[in-house]
Amino acid sequence: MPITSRRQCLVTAGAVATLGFAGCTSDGSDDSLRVGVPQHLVGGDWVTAFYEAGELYAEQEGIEYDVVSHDQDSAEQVTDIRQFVAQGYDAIIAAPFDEAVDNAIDEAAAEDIPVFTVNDPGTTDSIKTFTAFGNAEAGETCAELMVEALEEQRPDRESYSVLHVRGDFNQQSNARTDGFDEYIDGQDRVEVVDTIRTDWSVDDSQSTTEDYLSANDPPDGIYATNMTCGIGVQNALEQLNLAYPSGHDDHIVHTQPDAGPDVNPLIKDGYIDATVDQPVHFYIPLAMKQLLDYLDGGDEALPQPGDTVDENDYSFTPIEHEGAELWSDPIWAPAEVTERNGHTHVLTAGVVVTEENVDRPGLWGNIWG
Amino acid sequence: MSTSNIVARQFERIPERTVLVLLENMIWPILAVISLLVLATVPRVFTNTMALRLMLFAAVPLGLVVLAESICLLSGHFDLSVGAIAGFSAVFTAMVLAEWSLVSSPVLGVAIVLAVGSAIGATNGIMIAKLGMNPFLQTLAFFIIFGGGKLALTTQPISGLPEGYVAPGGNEYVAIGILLASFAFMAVVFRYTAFGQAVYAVGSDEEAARAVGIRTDRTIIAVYALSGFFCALAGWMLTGYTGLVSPDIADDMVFPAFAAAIIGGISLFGGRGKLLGALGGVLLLSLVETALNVGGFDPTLIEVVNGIVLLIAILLYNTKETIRERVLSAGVRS
Repeated sequence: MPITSRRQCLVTAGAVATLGFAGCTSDGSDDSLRVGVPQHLVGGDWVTAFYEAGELYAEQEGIEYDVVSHDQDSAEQVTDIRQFVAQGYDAIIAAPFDEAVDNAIDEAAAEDIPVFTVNDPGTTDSIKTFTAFGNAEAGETCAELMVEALEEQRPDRESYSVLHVRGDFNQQSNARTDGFDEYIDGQDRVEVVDTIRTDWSVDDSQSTTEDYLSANDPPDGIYATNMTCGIGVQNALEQLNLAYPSGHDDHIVHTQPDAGPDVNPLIKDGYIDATVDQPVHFYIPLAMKQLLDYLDGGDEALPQPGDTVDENDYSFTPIEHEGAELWSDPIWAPAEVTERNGHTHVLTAGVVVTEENVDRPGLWGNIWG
Repeated sequence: MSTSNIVARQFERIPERTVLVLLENMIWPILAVISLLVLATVPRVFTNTMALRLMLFAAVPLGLVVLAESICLLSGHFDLSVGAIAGFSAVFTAMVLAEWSLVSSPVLGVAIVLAVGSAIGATNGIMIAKLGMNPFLQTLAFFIIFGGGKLALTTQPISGLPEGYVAPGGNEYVAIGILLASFAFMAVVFRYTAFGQAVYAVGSDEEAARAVGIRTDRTIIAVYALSGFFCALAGWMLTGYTGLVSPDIADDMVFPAFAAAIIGGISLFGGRGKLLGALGGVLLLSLVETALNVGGFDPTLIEVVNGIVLLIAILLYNTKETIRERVLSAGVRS
C-alpha cells in the first residue's frame, strides 16, 4: 500500500476516533440542571442499581447527570469534586469515601454549589442532607435479628457464640461493626467470640472464613457485614460442609446488612436468616428531589431534624425497568430525619428481608437480579 | 515489513542527531497531539483555566512518585514500594503530630516525613546492593510491609494536623512549584553531575560501570534513598491535598507510576530516558483522565482507556527502539 494511502487511512481513523470520542462526551452547553455524581464505581449489582436508578430519575426530570468514579481513593474523589466546581456544575450528589473528602465539599459549598450526600454521610456541616439507611442502625437491627434467630434455633441453650466477619476500616464498615457490637455488648447470653477482617470481596471473605472455621469450633451464629461478604461466608460454610438451612440442628444463624440478587436465593432457601436491605434505588432519586426543592425554596424546603418523611412528601412516578415497575413500592419510607455532624440525615427505612418477604417485587435485588 | 521498519525508513532521510533528539523527547509531540485532540473534543479542559490548574494540582503526588520510580528505573532497578513508602511516611508522621502529639512543629513534621521515607528507601537500597536481594522481591516485601503498616498504625483518618504542615500541599501554586522544582533539580543532577552519569552507567551495564571505577553499591543505595525521599514528599503533598491522612492514603499508586514513567520514555531496562520525559508522562495521564472526567465519558470505560494509552505508549516505545537501532547502525555504516 503506498504511504499516502496509509497516511490517509490514519488521518481518517484519527478523525473518526475524534468524532467518536466527541460523541461520547457531553458538552455541557444546554441549559438543563447539571449534577455531578462522584462515587465509588467498583462494579457489582449494588453499585449498578445505585447509579442507574439515579440516571433514570435524572432522565425523567431532564437533569444532566454526570457520574465519575473515584475508585475508592479519597484523593481522587477530592479531585473529582473540585473539577465539578471548576466546571460550574449546579449541584453535587456525592458518596464520600471518607472524611478526607470534607474539605472539597466545603470548597464546593463556598462556591454556592449545594452538596447532597447519599450512602456515605460525610462529616462536614457544609452538606445539605445525607440520604441512606443508617449503617450503624442496620448493624444494630442485625444484632437484634441474630439474638431472635439464635433463641429460635437453639431455645435450650444458655449462651451463644457469634463470629463477626467485618470489612475494611472505612466509615461505612466501621458503623456496621460498631452498631452490631454495641447491641451484643448489652446481651448477657450472646458473645462475639472473634472478629475477622475481610475486604468485603467474595473470595477474601470466603478464604478468611474458611481459615477461621477450619481451625476453630463452628459458632452458633455469624454476622457478615455486607452483601458480598455474606456470600463468601456461605461459600465457606458450603466448602466445610457446615451449610444447613434454618431449622436443621446444625444450622449456623446468619444475619447481615444487604440483600441482593445473589443473597435473596440464600434467604429463600433458609441459609441466611435475615438481612437489613437498603432501598438503594431510591437514594439518588430522593437526593435529587431534595435538591430540586432546595433550588425552589432554599434550606427551609429541606427536611428538618425531628421530621418524618414518607411517600406523601416524595412521590415517584414508576417506570418500567428490567421488567419491573421501578419506584412503585416506596420501601424507603418512612424516613426519620435527624442531625449528625452538623447536617441533616434522612435515614430511610431499612427493609428486614426474611424467608417470608424475600420475593417482594420492590426489593432492588429482585429488580436488578 | 513491519510498521516500525517502514517508519524507520522514513526517518533515515532526517539527520541522525535530529532523529535521536526527537526519539529521546518523543513524549512532548505525543502530548501536543493528545492536547489538540482534547482541545477538539473537550475544549472545557483548556478554556477553563481552573480545570487546568486543578489537573496539575491533582497530579502533584503522582508526579513525585513517578519521579521516584523513574530514578530507580534509570539505574536499571525498580521500586514496587513507592506508594507504600509515600503512604506509610505520611501516616507515621500524622500519628507523631496529631495522635501521639510527640511533635507540634510543622518544620519538624516535614523533616520526619522526609527522613522516614528516605530511611525506608535507603534500607531498600542496602538490602539490594549489599545483601544481594532481588529488587522485585525486596520492594515487593516492603510494599506489603509498609502498606500493611499504615493500617497497623491507624484504621481511622487522622485530622487535626498543624496548619503549617498541611498548608504547602494544600496550596496549588506551592504544590505545583514543588513538583516542577523537584523534576528540574533532579534533571540537572542527572545531566550535569558525576552521580547522575553514574546512575545512567549502572543502569546501562552494572558490571561495566563497576569496572570503570563507579561505586555501584553506593549509587544503588543513593538511588533508593532518593526514591524514598520523593515518595515521602508525595505523601506530604497528598496530606496537604486532602487536609488529613486516611489509612488508604497513596494506595494503588505503583502502577500509574510505572505507566507514566514508561509513557515518558524511561526505559524499563535502565540507562535510557529523561526525567523531564517522565514529567510529560504524568501530564499525559492526567490530561487523559481529566478530559474523560470533564467530558462526561462513561466512567466504566476510563480504566480501559488508561490501559489503551499505556499499550499505545509501549508500542511507540518498541517502534522508537527499532528506529534508534536503525539510525545508529546506519551511522556506523556511513
